[in-house]
Amino acid sequence: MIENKYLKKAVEYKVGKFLGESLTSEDLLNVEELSLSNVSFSGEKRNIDLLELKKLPNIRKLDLQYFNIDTETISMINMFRKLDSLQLASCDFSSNEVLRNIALRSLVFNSCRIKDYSKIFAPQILTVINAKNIRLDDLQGIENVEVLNLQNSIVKGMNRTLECKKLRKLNLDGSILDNEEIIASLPKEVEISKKDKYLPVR
Amino acid sequence: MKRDFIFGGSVGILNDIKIENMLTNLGSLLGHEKELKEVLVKNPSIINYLIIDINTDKEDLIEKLFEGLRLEDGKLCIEPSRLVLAGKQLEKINCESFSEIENLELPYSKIGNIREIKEKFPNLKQIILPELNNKRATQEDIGDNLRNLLEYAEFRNFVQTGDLGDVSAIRKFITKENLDSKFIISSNGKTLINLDRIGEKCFEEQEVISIDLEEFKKLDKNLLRTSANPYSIVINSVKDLSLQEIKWLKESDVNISSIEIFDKYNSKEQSEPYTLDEYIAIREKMEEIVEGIDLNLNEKQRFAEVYKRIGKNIVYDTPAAYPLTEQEKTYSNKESSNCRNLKNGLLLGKCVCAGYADILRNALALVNIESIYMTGGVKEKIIDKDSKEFDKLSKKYSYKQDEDGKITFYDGHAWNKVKLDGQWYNVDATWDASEIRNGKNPKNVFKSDKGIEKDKKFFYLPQKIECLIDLDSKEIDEIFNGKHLWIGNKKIPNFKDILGTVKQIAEEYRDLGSLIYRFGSKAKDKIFPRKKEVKLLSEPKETVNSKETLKSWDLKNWNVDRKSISQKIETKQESIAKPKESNVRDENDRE
Repeated sequence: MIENKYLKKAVEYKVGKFLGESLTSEDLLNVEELSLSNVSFSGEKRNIDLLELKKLPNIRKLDLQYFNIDTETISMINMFRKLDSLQLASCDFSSNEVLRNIALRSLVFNSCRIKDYSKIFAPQILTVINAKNIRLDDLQGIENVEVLNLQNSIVKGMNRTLECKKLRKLNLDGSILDNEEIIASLPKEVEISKKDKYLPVR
Repeated sequence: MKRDFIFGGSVGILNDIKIENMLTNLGSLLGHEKELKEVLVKNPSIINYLIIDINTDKEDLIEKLFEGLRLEDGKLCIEPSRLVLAGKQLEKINCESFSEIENLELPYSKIGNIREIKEKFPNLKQIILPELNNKRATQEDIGDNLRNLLEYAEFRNFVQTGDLGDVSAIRKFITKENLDSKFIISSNGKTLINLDRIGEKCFEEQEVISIDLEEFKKLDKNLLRTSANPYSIVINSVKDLSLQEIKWLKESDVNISSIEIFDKYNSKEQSEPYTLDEYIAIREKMEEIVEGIDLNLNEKQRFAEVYKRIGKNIVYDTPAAYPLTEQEKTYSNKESSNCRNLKNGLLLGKCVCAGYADILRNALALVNIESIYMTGGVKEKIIDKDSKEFDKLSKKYSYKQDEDGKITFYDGHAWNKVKLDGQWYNVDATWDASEIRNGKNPKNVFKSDKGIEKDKKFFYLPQKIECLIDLDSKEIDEIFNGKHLWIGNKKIPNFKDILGTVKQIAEEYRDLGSLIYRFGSKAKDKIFPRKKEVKLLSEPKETVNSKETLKSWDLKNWNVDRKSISQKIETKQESIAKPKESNVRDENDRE
């Protein structure tokens, strides 16, 4: 079944088997959402092999923290047919293959180190938070983006937002832009937020 | 209380529908008593409870109803424990059959004189007080009515108070003076329990009895085991119920359905009950957060460690707070409570502000730090009353009218007040999570109430606990860099501090030393004054002709052998230039 004990526990929580009862093949097929961290609260590294996620083919929503997202991992992620939402937090994104999954609607990078933005194909909702150097110039598929959240980051290539014909919402809270004037050039229909600070509430 | 009910429905429907409860209006039931009786006799489990709502003051109609429901032996076709009378007219009417009624449902306002009710319904075991249907009970309603019920000490296990909106109002009127010794009330105000009848079956078997852990521990376990209703254990924080205890509770044969974490400052989401398995999983994660934190450390250090661990490992759940797609909206509605209490933040690693605040409060309790959960808002925009922006903004934000007539739009927010070394501070784990995750020190900690006003924050309720002090960024950095220990508000110096201090002291001593030296010299002069120099005169004390004196010192006048003197000088010079050979090795000769 699943070899890594932390991944196994995460799956057990998801299917409601809190007492360590055996997982069945059906359980693995039923997992649609999974949140996984490669580091414990106390800082202990877990060394989870992400490739074991292949055993969860029906996953729709995947949240990963503190992982190295390499080429092999991206290849696997691209194969998930039902993956609708992917959130990466504190991950190192360094892949030779483009992250492009047809089913993907929402992609979030939170405090990630992204080596090469050209290896990202933007889905309809793209969120990048706490990035030191967002290079919109290199981003693929930006013309399809409907919601663009670039918060608490340094953003380069703002001119490319003019190519986003489907853009409905643009959130730039707390970010420093290479070209502030572009905002005024965007269509009025686009809902824009540009606060001094990124301060989530609710 | 949940019910499926049929108003004015035909009794014939009962044959095809399986329902749990049945509430029927007397008017619709009249004329169908025999049909109902037939169904109940043939299939007694088709309904659990028959609730008859009396809205008439015609006593003969009620008598007719009961007659129709009787069997040949005179007994009612439904057990008295499954028959409930309800309705506003009950206080006005009398009926012989009331002597068989065990369950009444009455609104608060109709409790009135409990003794009269007791006389009318001599076998009464239970009074159910339903929700007030969008009307918040006044404190007078709650106080007087419950006080009256407490006088009726015989009547039943517990009274369900329903959702009254302000739980604390109930507790105010249940004081030690008016509380019978055999009644206890749970801290969340949901349940009032007659301890003498705790094992008895209640009106609705699914209804959960909330009871505080401390009270639960005092109860007779044999009685608890026989109770038909499940219990929900109420605690103040995860510290009150350890992993070991919860596992024992799970293995015991007492019917415990859930754990509720209730604190008077909590919002509703925090009070959502957890199943035992969920609580075990949550408690394990809490142990991870505080693992290895030395309880001997100063409070500020312990706080910093917990704060950092939460910030590093829990991500803000944007789709839950700001759903964009239909799927996200569904997720947001479904997870509305879970992302605002301990569950999602700990088990999924993501939550919104309320979740951060709840997790922080409970984690700090485990390291013996007191904190409270705060709710308030963050101001977005202030507009005039007649502004055109009102419609647009009101769809996005909550709003309130200020005293000056202006309208403030805001977003709801939650954070914590923490007591460290005797001082209370505002801290915001949600806003600091990003900074901490990026390896920086937080900025939204150790703030006073005035300090957070600069962030446009305000409290929903007036503050009884005030935060008066702001720590500056340098002090915050020192705490989070672990450079200093603190005792109270004083820092304990570390090695660098001590070295710096020693150097400083050494300089001061050097200065002092030189000062002493100078002082000492002057003092010495005073103590031991120098003898006055006596000018020795080489010549007798007579007036000497200076010219002649000089002349007398002239060598020419001395008949000195200059040659011999110059030779002696030359010899001396030569001997200095060529030192004698020595047996002592020079440094240069060393190997």
